[in-house]
Amino acid sequence: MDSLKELLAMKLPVLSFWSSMPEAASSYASEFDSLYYFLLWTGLGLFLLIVVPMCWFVMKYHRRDEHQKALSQRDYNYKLEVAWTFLPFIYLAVCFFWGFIGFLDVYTVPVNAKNLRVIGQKWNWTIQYPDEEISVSGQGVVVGVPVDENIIFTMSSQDVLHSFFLPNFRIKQDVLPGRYTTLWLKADKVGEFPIFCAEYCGDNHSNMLAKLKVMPRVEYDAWVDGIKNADISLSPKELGAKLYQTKVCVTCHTTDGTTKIGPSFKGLYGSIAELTSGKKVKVDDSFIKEHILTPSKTPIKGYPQVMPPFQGQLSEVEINALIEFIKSFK
Amino acid sequence: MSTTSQTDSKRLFPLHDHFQRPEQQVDASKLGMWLFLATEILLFGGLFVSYAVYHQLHPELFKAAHHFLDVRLGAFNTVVLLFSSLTVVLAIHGAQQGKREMVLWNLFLTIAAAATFLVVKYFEYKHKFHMGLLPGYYFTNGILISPDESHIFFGIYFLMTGLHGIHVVIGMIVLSWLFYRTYRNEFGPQYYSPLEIGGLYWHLVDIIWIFLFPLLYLIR
Amino acid sequence: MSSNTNYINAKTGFASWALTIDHKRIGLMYLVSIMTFFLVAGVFALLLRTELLTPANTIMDAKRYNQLFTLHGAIMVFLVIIPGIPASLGNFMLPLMLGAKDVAFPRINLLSYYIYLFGAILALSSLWVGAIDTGWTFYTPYSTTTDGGVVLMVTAAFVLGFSGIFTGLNFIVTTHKLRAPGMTWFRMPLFIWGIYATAVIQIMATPVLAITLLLLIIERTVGIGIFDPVLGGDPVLFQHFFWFYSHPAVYIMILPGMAVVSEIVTVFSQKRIFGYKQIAFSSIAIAVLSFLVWGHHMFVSGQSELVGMIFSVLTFLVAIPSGIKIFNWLATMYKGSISLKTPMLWALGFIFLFTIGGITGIFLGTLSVDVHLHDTYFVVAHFHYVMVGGTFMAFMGGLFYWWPKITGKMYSEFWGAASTLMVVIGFNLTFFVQFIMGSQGMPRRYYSYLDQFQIYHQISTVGSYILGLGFVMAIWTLLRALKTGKPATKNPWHAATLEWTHTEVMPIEHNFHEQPTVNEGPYEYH
Ligand code: HEA
Ligand code: HEA
Ligand code: HEC
Ligand code: CUA
Ligand SMILES: [Cu+2]
Repeated sequence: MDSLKELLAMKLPVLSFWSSMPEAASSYASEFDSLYYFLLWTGLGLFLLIVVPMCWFVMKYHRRDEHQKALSQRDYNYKLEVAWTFLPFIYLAVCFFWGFIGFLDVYTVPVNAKNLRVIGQKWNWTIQYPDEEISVSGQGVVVGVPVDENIIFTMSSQDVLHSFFLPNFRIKQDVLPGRYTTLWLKADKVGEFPIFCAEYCGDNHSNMLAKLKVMPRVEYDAWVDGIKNADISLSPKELGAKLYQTKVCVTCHTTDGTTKIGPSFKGLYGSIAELTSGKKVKVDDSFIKEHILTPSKTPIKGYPQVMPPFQGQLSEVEINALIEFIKSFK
Repeated sequence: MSTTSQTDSKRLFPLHDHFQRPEQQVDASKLGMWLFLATEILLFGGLFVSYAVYHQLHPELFKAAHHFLDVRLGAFNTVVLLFSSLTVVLAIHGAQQGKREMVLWNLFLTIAAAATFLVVKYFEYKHKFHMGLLPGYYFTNGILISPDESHIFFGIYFLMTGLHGIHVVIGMIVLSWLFYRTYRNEFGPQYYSPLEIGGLYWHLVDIIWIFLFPLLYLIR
Repeated sequence: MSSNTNYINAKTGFASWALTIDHKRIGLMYLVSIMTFFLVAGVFALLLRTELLTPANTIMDAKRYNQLFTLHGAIMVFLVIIPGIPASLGNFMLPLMLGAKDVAFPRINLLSYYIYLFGAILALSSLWVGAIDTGWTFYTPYSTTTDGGVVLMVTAAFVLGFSGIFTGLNFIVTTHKLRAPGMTWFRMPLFIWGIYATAVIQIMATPVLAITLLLLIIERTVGIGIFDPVLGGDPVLFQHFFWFYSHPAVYIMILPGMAVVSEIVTVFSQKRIFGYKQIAFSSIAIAVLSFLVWGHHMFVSGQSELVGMIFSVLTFLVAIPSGIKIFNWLATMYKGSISLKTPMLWALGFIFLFTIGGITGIFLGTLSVDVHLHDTYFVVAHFHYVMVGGTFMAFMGGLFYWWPKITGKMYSEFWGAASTLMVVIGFNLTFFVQFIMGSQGMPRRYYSYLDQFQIYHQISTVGSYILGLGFVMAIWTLLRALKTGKPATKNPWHAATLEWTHTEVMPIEHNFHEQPTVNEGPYEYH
């Protein structure tokens, strides 16, 4: 789980202990911050408007002897009532419009943009790059994007609700099963920024992290090439080992014979598995392939049925690589 | 708490001792019942909203599936319930005039109508069970395979009619209890507010059905 | 009648409690149950905080953590703070303040206590039958697919709902029909107005929750496909249903708190309340508006921007009646004769903390700002400021205020004041840093976190220990008064409402020796 440790050490750069906001990485984020600080300072003002008189009254009109009477029994003042009923409207209207404009910015998707697809799944993100024909996935996966270009994420979920949250861009959107939602950004700073899952989704909700890596265009192209070549140049077993990490098989399966959530891969290949129906089957290539793609069709006895289906997420090459990887643990 | 006097013909008012005047007690229990009915309507309101949402989302499904309901049986049950509302009113009327026989007969008719309603409902349900027209995982009907989410309609159907059915049963219990109290000669022209309150409840059961019937059986 | 019979010693024996229909005894039974569950859920909170000392596994694993915050949230909300003030103090005080002998339907009152108890047992038994890990919001489709005692917990919430409905119904009818002669609507103490508005929300919103939870149970058991997208359902619909109840529910929580503070502020300033009608009507305004803002919990859920806009506008409107109350309390204190006894300290703490909680609510109601802050610790801090800093401060204040009436004993002022201070300090330490880390992007319901947040989490944890100690001290102070407290007088605070002026030190079984009549407002201090 080294990758996770590394991930947890990831920094959301913040200026100081007291400064609230993480570093802004888009022009939208800077605009957002002006509204946020407006609320913060006016809010502080309102707070003082209440607490200062309160303390002052307590000191000034403090009951000094037991029989002291109130100085006045006046209980109504028309002007005051009107003032504190209607003045807040003005303030609230400002907050509302300012917030609404920002909200439209978040959800009005630009026309010229690069499209990425995001798939949320317990408990990792998969990002597909239709133009580049690559995809990356896994816990802590690095999501490369070019700087100063509009990026649209079209998002959906494989299982339960998730939420795609980029604090440095001040944006977030729930990711739903059975429906597409979108989010967009235009990074104006190069760097690495964390991505969180912000909608509770189960045991590993807090580990469903990823990293947005903003790069100059040239570097980005190289990054894409790197991913393309990496997979081709790897041996099947190496690719399998990589997928074992990135597709998070590792969260449920060990390779040393101990049982985590699912059965260990050690000695798995060639063994006999018992299904919940009582049927016994040999764990061979085709069984493994079927189980990876649609685990619910061949439920294994004695384990919770929690393994996610990988149908549509793994290519033939990758499946073969995983089988070779499993095979290597005799 | 209550001090019921059993001096035969004149039924005195059993005033609970935290009330001061009889009207106060009657008003309080009526207001209580009206509020309770409001909560009942809101309870069903949630189901009506789900109905509306899914009707909006899958109109074709509702159209296809509702043919499997028997309009004649539904209509019959509507008439039965309308009739029972009438008899409840007559029962209260009888109490106001001190006609014990009339109260008993009308309550009996109401209970009988409720039972009829449930018997009809039983046959309707039985038919659906046979055909596998059931909610969710249990939907096994082979004829209604398209549109493919037809089970949602039956989910809503069983929920709405089921919850209503439970109300009918509760209503029957309340009515029987009123019958028993009338039989014991506890009500008279001075005191019949339990009858009124029970009657209000029964009207609610009736009204909800009047909404359910067209929504489920008469879709177009 | 001799003056030393009272509602406690009038009857003795177990059955005289278990079968009582005296609103005062029922109120007391609620109080004991609610406080017990508060301590249980409070201990859960401390366990959560302890786990968050380090990003790794400190004392429990992720699964256990998720179960604990769910139980903490669910117990605090459904068993503690929603019944909270109305069922305990409200039950006890409402008939006394109205000059009535009891609530309108005493038996239903007892019934709703047992329904409450039954619901509570169901909720707690989910601890043994596979604890639930969905969060108190039960969002689908997670809640329809996860294992554990979801059905049990949801049934519990369903059952508890009915207890609330019956209590609310009882209070409304009592207020309408059982006021003492001469007690017009505008001579009612403001506490009654607050409880009345709460009851209205309670009977209107709870049935919707009931049906939602029923749908959820049926979804889980037979898969009707209302919420599960795999079966053709819509998971967001659940959120609409849920918040249609649960947003009004947050005002079910705060209105009684505000009601208590209204009483305390005028009595301890010995001055007529400023803007009586404004405060009374603002309760009603809050009750009405509370039904129209639920969508502010769903700004990023995928609902349309237009809907988001409408909900944002309506959300802001709620701030206005809340503000009216606060300003009127300040004006009441102006030129008063302010005594800093313990109840007043809690009330001042309320104003201080609730204002922070409310203003940060404005942050969250602002559309674009909520996009960033939603589901972060900022929200966690917001709702603890309003629920603990608001409602709970008021609850404690109310307990200290009415303790002499309930028990006939005076508590220790020194320990009362010390515990208030302890709670305020511990509370700010615990939750203020959560605003900071939330705005920096720390998501909520996170079992582990990035290293950089550790310092905030540690401060928060230390604060929570102080806070816990403060609450324990406060409760201890009250309990000790039973044994060692000085006997109270009839009206130790010189209040002018009926429960102080027309009853014995401890009220008798039927509250008043004779029917009180009213010929002036509730806050005439002569
Ligand atoms: C006691 C309970 C309580 C109360 C009273 C409130 C009061 C308010 N709440 Fe809060 N809220 C919760 C409990 C409560 N809330 C809970 C439990 C959640 C989270 C649930 C979950 O997800 O688990 C939540 C979440 C929540 C959200 C969703 C956040 C998110 O998930 O993204 C929002 C968004 O609008 C919000 C807004 C408000 C507002 C505007 C008020 C207003 O009513 C506040 C009004 C008060 C004031 C403003 C202060 C006093 C007024 C003045 C001093 C006048 C002058 C001020 C101005 C003109 C601004 N709340
Ligand atoms: C009335 C409502 C209420 C109350 C009173 C509290 C009280 C407290 N809450 Fe809670 N909380 C919620 C309602 C409430 N909470 C809700 C609804 C959630 C959301 C759940 C979800 O996400 O689904 C939540 C979530 C929540 C979280 C976020 C978890 C997460 O998102 O991962 C945290 C973390 O700090 C927290 C902390 C606390 C603390 C420290 C207290 C303290 O105030 C508690 C103080 C009380 C005590 C400590 C009890 C007394 C102590 C003892 C008897 C033991 C003796 C101890 C000593 C002497 C030290 N709460
Ligand atoms: C969320 C946990 C989880 C994840 C992630 C997961 N699995 Fe599984 N897996 C299980 C469980 C539990 C079982 C046994 C129960 C079942 O699914 O029938 C299982 C069973 C299996 C089996 C069959 C074992 C046997 O006894 O025949 C294979 C092969 C397998 N997984 C491979 C994988 C691969 C490859 C991946 C990643 C691409 C993966 N799993 C990811 C939980 C998981
Ligand atoms: Cu995915 Cu939380
Ligand atoms: Cu809300």
